Amino acid sequence: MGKTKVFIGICLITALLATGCGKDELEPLDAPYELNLPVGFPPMPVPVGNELTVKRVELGKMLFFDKGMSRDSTVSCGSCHLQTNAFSDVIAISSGIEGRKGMRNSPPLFNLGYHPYYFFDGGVPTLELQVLAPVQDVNEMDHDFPLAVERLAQNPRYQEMARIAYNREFDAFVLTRALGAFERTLVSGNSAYDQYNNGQSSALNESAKRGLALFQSERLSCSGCHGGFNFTDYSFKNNGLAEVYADSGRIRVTAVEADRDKFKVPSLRNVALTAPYMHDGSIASLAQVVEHYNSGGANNPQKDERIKPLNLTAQEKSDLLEFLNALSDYEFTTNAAFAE
Amino acid sequence: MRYLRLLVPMLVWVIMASSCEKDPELIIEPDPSSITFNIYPKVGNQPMVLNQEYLDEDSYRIMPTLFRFYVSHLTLLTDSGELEIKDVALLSLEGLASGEPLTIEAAIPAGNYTGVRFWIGLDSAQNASDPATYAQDHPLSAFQGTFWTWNSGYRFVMLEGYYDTLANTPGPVATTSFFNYHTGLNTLYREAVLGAASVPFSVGEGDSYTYNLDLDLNRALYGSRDISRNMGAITHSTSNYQLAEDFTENFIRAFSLSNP
Ligand code: HEC
Ligand code: HEC
Repeated sequence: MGKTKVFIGICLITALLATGCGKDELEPLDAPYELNLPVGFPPMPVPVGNELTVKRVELGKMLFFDKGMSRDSTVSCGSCHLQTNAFSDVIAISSGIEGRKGMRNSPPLFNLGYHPYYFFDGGVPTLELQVLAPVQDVNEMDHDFPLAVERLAQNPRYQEMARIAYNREFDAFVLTRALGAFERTLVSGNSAYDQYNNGQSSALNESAKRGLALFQSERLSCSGCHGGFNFTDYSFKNNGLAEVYADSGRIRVTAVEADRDKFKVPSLRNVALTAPYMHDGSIASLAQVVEHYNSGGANNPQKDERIKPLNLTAQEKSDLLEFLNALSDYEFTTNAAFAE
Repeated sequence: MRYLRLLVPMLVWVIMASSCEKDPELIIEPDPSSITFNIYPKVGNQPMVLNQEYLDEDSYRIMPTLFRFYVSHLTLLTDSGELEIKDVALLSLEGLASGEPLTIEAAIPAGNYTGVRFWIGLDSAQNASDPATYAQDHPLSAFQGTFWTWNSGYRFVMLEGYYDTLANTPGPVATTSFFNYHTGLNTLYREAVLGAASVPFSVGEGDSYTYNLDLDLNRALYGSRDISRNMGAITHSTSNYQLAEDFTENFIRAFSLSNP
């Protein structure tokens, strides 16, 4: 009797396993990827079907640095997003293939899994969808998407990894998911500020501590927009860069007049490493950014009311700068796991 | 050993219940009736193909170079209700020979129908799809070139080409004047206004019925809203929204019953 029950049990389990779809189950060759989130970071949302695994992340990283993604095989994602600069670019407007220029500054890439949307105008809701943009943008990789996928699919290594990671052949799905998976692992949260915040009071010098207080003060209200653990509330704002903007920002995707000249508030983590600044790279240094805010900015009708003359003393400016410099996470910019 | 007798049916049940395949759509047997929608693109009375010059209604030269659009929720009307026969189709003039129609085919049950309805563009759920999750040849796949990458969503109607800014000009169309209408956005999703083009018909057992419609570019340009005068404008819907809306309002009224 007992034996029969066990036998039935085994049969049932075997039957269930044998008929499982295998879609969401990990192949034995793959294993979950452990995301080590810094203290104080909330859990990172991960889309169903693209849970992080070792092979998915590995494949995504290979693709990120693969120049074969561009039409003439000269540009990879890593060409405009450099690890030493927290995956941003050092020039105002990055060059795509044949040195073509787009219109925006390459933003840094870290803690991306927390963003509610992507790009300065917020038109793209997921990391997976974001991948479709640079590949096809004439000023970036200028590749016909089907051709790009077809060419990458010729790579036997990609085919092998696609099967292990996603249990299917290399295709548009695998390309977009794997890059999304790799990008989610780009987590940064070990700056001097973080160490200070986690109880190591010597991690910030006195000047940086005064800068932090200024940053959070009502008088400067920097943290009103650049608040939270990622130093942004992801809202769309105008910080008075110019009276007239060449790039109309969020209105490009919403067609709502109230969104004219508004841009996604950027994270200020690693900000000392991501010059030049703003959506158009128009401000060369952090010191000049501080001067910009101190001046109250240009008279743009969309300018947020908190952007107004601050009357900072020389000491306050250098304290604020000292604090912004303490947001650099060198463990992140030198982490071999993210290197080409 | 009684348990063993239970085992076989249980296993069969388990296998069936855990099968991956989605249940196939209800197939109405035995009923191989079908319908083919033919949509004949025209400029006035002339068949329209890409990369050929036409004189439009107001004698302006125009040369379309790309023309694609989505038809969704193609539905047959009956006395007792509605029957959706196609959720989405992408129609393109690419590769179409002169006089050839754009086609949508579907299996339908035999019977009497009182008319048809369909929408131009995609509903908000379809428009929020991730194109990389579809097979290459699916109308919503990333391979169709209809997805807006910088503002996730699909282009509902894409019409591009060259035009002359002066009427009655001699010689070939000026290829310096490019026009580019891309409509999209959930707010521009509209049902086609068919009026007299939606006629009753019956389909016998095993028959294939053909429903012929014309799509007239003149009506898309000179319909209820005359947009031809500012054709130089480019719209990607979020830029120059008014033009995108005017064009959409015309386009959904550009279908008529074919006069053979
Ligand atoms: C030619 C330079 C260039 C290349 C190549 C490039 N990018 Fe970018 N990237 C940019 C620019 C510029 C932006 C900002 C665009 C905007 O906001 O409109 C951007 C934005 C992004 C963003 C959004 C970040 C945010 O905070 O919203 C992500 C994610 C990203 N890129 C990932 C990638 C990936 C993955 C690839 C390779 C498939 C890639 N990029 C290739 C220049 C580039
Ligand atoms: C009203 C919201 C708001 C306030 C308040 C604000 N910022 Fe900003 N900040 C923004 C926006 C929006 C941008 C991006 C603007 C653009 O790209 O056009 C930005 C950009 C920046 C940048 C450039 C980041 C980069 O990677 O390009 C720095 C640095 C910065 N802010 C620091 C500060 C400091 C310091 C304060 C306080 C003195 C402050 N911000 C107050 C909204 C704000």
